[in-house]
Amino acid sequence: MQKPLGREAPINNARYNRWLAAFSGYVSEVTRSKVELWLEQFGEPERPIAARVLDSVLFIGHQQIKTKYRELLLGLSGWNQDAIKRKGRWFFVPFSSSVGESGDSMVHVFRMATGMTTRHYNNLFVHRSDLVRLRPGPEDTVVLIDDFSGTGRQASTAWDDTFAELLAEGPQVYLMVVAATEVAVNAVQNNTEMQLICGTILDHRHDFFSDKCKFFANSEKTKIEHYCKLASPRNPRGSDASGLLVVLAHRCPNNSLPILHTNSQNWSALFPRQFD
Amino acid sequence: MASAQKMTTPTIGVKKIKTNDLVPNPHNPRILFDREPMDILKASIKRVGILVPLTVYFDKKKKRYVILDGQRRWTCASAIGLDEVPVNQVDEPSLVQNIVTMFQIHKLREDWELMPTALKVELLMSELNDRNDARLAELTGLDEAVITRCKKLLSYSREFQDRMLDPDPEMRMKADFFIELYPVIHDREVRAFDWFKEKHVINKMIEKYFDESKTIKSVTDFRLVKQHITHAKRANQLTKLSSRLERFVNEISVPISHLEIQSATVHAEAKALVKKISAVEDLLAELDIEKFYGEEDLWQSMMRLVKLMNAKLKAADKRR
Repeated sequence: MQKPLGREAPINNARYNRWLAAFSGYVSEVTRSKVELWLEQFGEPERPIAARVLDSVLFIGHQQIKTKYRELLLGLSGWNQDAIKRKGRWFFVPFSSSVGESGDSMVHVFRMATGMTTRHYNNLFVHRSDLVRLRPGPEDTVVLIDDFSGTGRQASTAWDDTFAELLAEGPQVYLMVVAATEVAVNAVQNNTEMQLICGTILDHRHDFFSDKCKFFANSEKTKIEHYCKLASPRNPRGSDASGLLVVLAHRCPNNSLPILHTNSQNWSALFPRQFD
Repeated sequence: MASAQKMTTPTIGVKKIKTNDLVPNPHNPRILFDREPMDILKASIKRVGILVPLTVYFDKKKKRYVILDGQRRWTCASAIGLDEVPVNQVDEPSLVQNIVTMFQIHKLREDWELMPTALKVELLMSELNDRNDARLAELTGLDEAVITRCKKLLSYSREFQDRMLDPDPEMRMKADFFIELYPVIHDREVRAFDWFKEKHVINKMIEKYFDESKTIKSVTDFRLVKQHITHAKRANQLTKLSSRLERFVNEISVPISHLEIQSATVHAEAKALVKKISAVEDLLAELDIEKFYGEEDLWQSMMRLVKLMNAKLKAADKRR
């Protein structure tokens, strides 16, 4: 979560420009009129709080995503771009499918980021369903690639349901994500044999409703929650009540507040997760 | 081909091992236990301890004990805080032995995703160099029908197999979708249509299945599609079907009913009627008049049938 401007800061051109610059590159373009329409959904007295919510959004752009992937890979023990210097076999695998995409969009970003786009590297990139046949063993490394982990619950379930069986012969397994909460890192650590590595760790201060989030007063949080309930009565604090204010350039995680990403009868999102 | 008998692993000995030193067998972690029987087992272990030792092996590579049989007992022992459990240590099994043992111990549950099982079956087929359904069924303890279903899933490209392994349950495609689609995309005539490209058709069917217009409501709708294909084939209407099927595939809002070629359907219905009438003919030809002479209802029913048949023939101008 970013530090918002002061409570008295006006909603003026400079602030709009700041938001537009920060959110540039979101998959569904963020324009001034969209921000205005989004703000108008709040009552007059709540608009300054809503503006501070926008100030606080942690937007991770395309370039940052690529940088984080590149740094994470370089930090892995045993990895070397040169196959001869690499320890054991390495496999990069898409962890999940992406809405309306072929299922390996994050792996594509990863390949671009790490410069492994030529055919020469093709054998490093495999499908989930290849893993049983390839039988990676204790000397080998499997890197599952995803964008975000909110609670680690899905990763833990997926490990029990599928991946433990696909990776039965005990390779080193990493789940590589751009960003994850501290809760997710611990859950994956405790419940699976994967190690979650991420570019940005979000601790309790990133939970808008947590007492550790000091940028907003409790009364302000209550007011914002009212609008969150309008947007999503079922998950007013985001999926698993994570209360995040994080947006990735290609998609807003559903662990973020629904006022950011949920389109419903009562609400129009600024960072919709589904778009035409 | 390795037989089931050769899969037996020799016992090294019975001893006690710290409960925390054991790990479940990763070759089959999808073990879902019913809560109630687990509670009964827990109560029993609390009362008398573990009477039947667990079967374990020592994984030399990872230097740890792995449970081959007895995961329920181990789960209960862990839950109630037993420090040690009795085990029967056996030799580390080969990959094939291990997979086969897991198949034999743990019955496949209906609610399990089939794709991971299919991949294990694929590995077995490759290791044993044997694709025979009956022998694989005997070896694994799976039904032959399950082996067939697994093979159908394995016929799809890795890209589609991955869709059945998605960690997100909402994104994960059910194996049944691909199993029901299989007869449609493997129909010889359909595959011969000049526009047919398997990957494209599968992707379009997935799109239709998830689209709000719900032109495919359930996976069993593919049976209807197959039925329309069969009817068109019988009525020699494949050219017409080809263009209709192409439109059905490519246009998300086109419903299955678009595939219905009236003449083909009528022809199929007529064939079914002829079959039924032939059965009645056979019955009547063999009718023993003396035996049923007093059965007035039977004769009345036959008279009604004659009357009805004459009326239909007359209406169709078919009476001679």
